[in-house]
Amino acid sequence: MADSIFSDVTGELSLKTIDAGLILHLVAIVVVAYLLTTLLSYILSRFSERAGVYRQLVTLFIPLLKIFIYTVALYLFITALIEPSVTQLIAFAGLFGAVVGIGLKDLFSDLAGGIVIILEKPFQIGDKVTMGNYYGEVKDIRLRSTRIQTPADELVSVPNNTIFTQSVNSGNAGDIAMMIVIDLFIDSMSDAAHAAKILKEALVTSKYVIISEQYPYTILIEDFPCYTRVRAKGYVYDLRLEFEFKSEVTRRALAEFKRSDIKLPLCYPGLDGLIS
Amino acid sequence: MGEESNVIGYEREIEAISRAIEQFDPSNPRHVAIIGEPMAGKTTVAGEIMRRYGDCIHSVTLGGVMTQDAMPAFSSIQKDCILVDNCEFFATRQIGGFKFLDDFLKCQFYSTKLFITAWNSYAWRYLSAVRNIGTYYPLVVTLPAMDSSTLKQVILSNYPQREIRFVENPPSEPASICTMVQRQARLPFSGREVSIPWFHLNTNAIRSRLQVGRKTVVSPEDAVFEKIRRVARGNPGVAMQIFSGCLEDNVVSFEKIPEDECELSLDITESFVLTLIVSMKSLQYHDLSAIAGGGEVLDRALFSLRRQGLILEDDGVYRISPARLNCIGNYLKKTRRVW
Repeated sequence: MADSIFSDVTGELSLKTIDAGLILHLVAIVVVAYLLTTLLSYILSRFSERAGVYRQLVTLFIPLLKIFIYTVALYLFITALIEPSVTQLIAFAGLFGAVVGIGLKDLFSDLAGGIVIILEKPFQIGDKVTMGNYYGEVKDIRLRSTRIQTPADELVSVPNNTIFTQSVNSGNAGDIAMMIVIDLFIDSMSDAAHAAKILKEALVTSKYVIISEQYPYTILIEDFPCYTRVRAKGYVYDLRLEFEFKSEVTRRALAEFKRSDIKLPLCYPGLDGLIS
Repeated sequence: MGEESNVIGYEREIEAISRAIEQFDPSNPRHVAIIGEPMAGKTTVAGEIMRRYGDCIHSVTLGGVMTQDAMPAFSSIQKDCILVDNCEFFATRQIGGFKFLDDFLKCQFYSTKLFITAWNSYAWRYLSAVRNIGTYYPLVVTLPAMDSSTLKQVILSNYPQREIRFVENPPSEPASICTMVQRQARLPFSGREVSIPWFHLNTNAIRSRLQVGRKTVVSPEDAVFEKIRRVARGNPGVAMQIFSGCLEDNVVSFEKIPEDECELSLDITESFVLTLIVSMKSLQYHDLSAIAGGGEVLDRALFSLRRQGLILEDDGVYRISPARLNCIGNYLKKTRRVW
């Protein structure tokens, strides 16, 4: 039995004659796979924009389709070049994995990360994530890297193996709505309750807010030695409007603070205050 | 069995309100909220309640966004019940915009009178989420969407003296499922715009083909009212507007009823302004300006909404175009502008 398997593995691989036709065939496989993934990604992305609240659900299929198409393309590519038996294919895959894995450890670590992201879904296309040192919206999940659009509109490719080495934080976990925290600081001598009422009304009347049992809001007051922090927590109905939401609520609340004679602190909170 | 109702379609709702009035206990008034879409018939229901119990009900109808001067003095009303129509005008979506609503709710909390209130459903859902107003009303009566036969009765009751004819249109060629259209695309690198052939799927044609198997023979009259029901989503006020719009020389034809083609793409300000208008019966320009921020941005949004036929303007007062209410409601829900 063992001899039979060994002889099967060591049996000659029937390499096909490489001619212009075969090269064209291989190129066609690569090109078709690339075009197919690009086209399907484009169609699904466009469709997701029209899907309203189901936007994230549609984009979920993009990386799955990509991995499926590339796997099929790889199989077609190998079988077009050689005609291996099943045992040879398995042995080849193992050897290929070991040899290339040692040489291209990081690349394969990224690929493994890509597969984990696709299967385990710690985040998906459209989510707002903090990955490594970068925060932004996930625009694409590729096999080697994840593309994130930062608030500064930069497109950053973060290697997928980041998920093995650093924590990844998803702000919305697949939902299109996302919780936003808005902090305003007032002088300790000002009326904090009135400030909280103003911030609450600025939040609930915002044109970006969504409020329901699933998306509640909270207003919190916390006193610090030099200032009082008034914090609003509420959901923006579309995570792409995160900064517009924050800005609109802050702008309107500050204008009302001024009208109501609520003073801003003389000593402005530092980083510690913001983090706490 | 209660008194015979003059209002078609809302008999059960009127009976529920009548029971609340008849069982009224000043020590524990069970306030009533009547909820309905714009043009669903809240005022008609309120009118029927007044017709039945006019001698013990004081009626107040709010005509616009509440101001300090216009705030009714509820405590000085002598009658046992107070009916307030268009209650959505008590609140506006701005900082400080809940003051009159809070006063009104407080007044009900301490009152020994029965309050019967009518609310726009969009405003009700918003205020329930942000002010929890549902807790003040033990009895909430929601006006349901009507079926086509009820709509038919409601509509035809407005034309008692006229014999309306419903004509069957000649069978037309079935529409293609897929048509070729030309779309503009920008070429990469050169930035040049070119026209490329593109496939357009006709969803209406697909839907009608799918229904072929279960098609039954219906009279032109029933087909007309079924289509009106579908376009108006069972809203009687909208249905009546659509019907009167396609009535010509006492003849209504199926084809004349406009399909509610709903392909909206609005920016944030347009959506917000539309949400404000649909949540109120109508809004004056200066109220919109106070809530949404005036100036060029608001003017542009109002112009765009009017151009798309979503709102109507009459002497500075903006209201929803009845025939587009269904489309607007669906769009705002889909994009989570209303909850």
